[in-house]
Amino acid sequence: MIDWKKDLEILMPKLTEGKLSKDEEKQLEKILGSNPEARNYYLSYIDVDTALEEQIGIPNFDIMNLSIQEASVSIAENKSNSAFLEYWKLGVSVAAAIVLLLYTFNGNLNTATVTTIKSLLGSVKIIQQNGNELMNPKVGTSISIGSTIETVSMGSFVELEFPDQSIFTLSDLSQCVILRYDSNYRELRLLKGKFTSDIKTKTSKTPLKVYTPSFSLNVLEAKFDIDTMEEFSHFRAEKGKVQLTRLSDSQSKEVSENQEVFFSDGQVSSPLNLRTTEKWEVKTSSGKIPLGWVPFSYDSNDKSDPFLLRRRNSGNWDSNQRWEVKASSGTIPEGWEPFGYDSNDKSDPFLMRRRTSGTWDDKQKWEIKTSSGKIPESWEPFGYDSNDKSDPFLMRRRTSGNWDDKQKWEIKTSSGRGITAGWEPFAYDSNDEQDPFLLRRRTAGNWDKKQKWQIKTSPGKIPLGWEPFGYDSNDKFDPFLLRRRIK
Amino acid sequence: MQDKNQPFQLDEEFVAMLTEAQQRLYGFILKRLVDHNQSNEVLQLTNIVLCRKANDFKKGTNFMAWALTVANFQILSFRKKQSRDRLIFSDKTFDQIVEEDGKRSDDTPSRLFHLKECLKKINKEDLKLLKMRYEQRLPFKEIAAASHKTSNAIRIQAHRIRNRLMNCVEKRMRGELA
Repeated sequence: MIDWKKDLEILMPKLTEGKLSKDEEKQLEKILGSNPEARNYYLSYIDVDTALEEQIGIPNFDIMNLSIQEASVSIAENKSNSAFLEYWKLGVSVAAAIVLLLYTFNGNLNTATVTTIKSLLGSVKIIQQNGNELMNPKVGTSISIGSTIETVSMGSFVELEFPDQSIFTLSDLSQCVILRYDSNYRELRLLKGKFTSDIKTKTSKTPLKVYTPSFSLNVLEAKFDIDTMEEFSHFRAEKGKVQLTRLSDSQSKEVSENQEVFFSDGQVSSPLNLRTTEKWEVKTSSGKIPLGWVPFSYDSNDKSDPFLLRRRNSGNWDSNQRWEVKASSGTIPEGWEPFGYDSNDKSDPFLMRRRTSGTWDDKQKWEIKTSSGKIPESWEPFGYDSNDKSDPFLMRRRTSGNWDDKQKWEIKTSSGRGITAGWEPFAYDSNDEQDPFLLRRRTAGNWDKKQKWQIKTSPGKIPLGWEPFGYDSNDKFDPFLLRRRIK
Repeated sequence: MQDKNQPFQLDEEFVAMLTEAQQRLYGFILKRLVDHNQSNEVLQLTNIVLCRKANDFKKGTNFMAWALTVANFQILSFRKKQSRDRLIFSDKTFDQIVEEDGKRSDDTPSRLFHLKECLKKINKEDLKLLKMRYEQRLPFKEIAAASHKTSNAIRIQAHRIRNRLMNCVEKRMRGELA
């Protein structure tokens, strides 16, 4: 085979999946820039991929309703617009839709009802086993075996009730298939996303089997949550006992009430007792901080509400606390604490906050500076400037009151697949596709070198026990970065 | 042109044409930018411009050609605004791709027709994979888990199917296959 063809054989499938590395992109440019035949192959390959999308992809009828009935997409609308336009990307022709609809209603429908919709919110898509879409699903709609259920809009969910009174709630942007559900078999497949279940055995002693991309589970009667992402899955049992089996090697573990298990990069944790009941909420603000909320990060791409706020709904939290924010060119006025950075603001990029209620040292003084990666003694890394290639790390130190002048920190980057023991995630570099997570560890003074953290992303709903710590301005779907300490 | 601050008022026919054009527009942009995030961004901008200019479109004229022209301007403007290191293609390669794709664009309806015919000939297992990939939009990792194969094996299988379809389409276009 000609060399360029061999190389493109590796590069093109990755390109269509959106998984080309920087080096592979350079290799592609080199091949295409020097070879007309390779360019022709490249163009044909993408043509076929696009044509397959057109030919095989299921038309998204929601887009038609959305566009015509609501008749509007205001340019000023917020981030959900991108989801709307994603649907457009998925859509195909009206002609195809009409033909398919006609075919649908003439086709054979499998009407073996296994579940009904108990409640739903937002856009929910149900594709029946024969490939036909179940139009206008609403409370009380029956769903048949083999159906694929997808919650397609942000914030949407669907709650399903089965004849044995078992309840499944599919969270937003999730997809599952009902494989079988009768007195002999109860099988579901979670393709992506999250669901919570309350499994009953009122009419059946048959165990329920749930398959996810990384594990399967067997359950008789239990309450549990599954959260599955590309590289990471999480299982939590609230009540009852569940047997989990890893698909790669059929290794099984029993998870009891109030325990959780994590799957990451093919590794599985031992069942851990649920450690925390911390519950955080997040929201955005134009700069005025409502009572009880604390500013913690900044979205450089959001011109109207760039400040990210958080508050805790559990434990000891002062719901009457008041905060102010302002920006600075680099000098931090007395009483203000630096906490974030606006990469797009060239004149006043440093963000400061101060508490205007309760206890707050109004005399505190801070200094800030940037670093290429080496943190000098007494400085603490706290943020990152994605646009600064030479000195992207932001450091701060307090020059008044108690401050450990001997503290030393190291920093490094991570892909996020697993945080090395002893390192703590503290910031995010939106421009680094390979290793966007920034980690820090203290090498002088008190520091738990065995500490372990997990990270994940969220569209804005913060699951129990997770703490928001950063924001990815480039991620329109899951911009919030969450962390939790697991050891 | 519609007011920038007003919501778009689009008629049903326009929405239908725009919806139908989405995949083609995305493919057109992807070929020139390679990066999916950038391509999605430019597709969004293109859609917004098309919606704003909906009143400028004359019914009965070629919608696809108009949409591709708008997409082309959006790509050029996007490339201009990006720093060099975010762009995958150099100006020279970009120009070569644009020139060669321009020569092929008139063939698209015919390519689609031949692809349909070629799809009729692929085996059940390959069709199943294509359906999982394009209909259910599953990533290779999930297809692999469902088929008890490795992700790499699935990626290679998908690549071979695309290659076969490409060859079949090319041969049919050259009149070598009925």
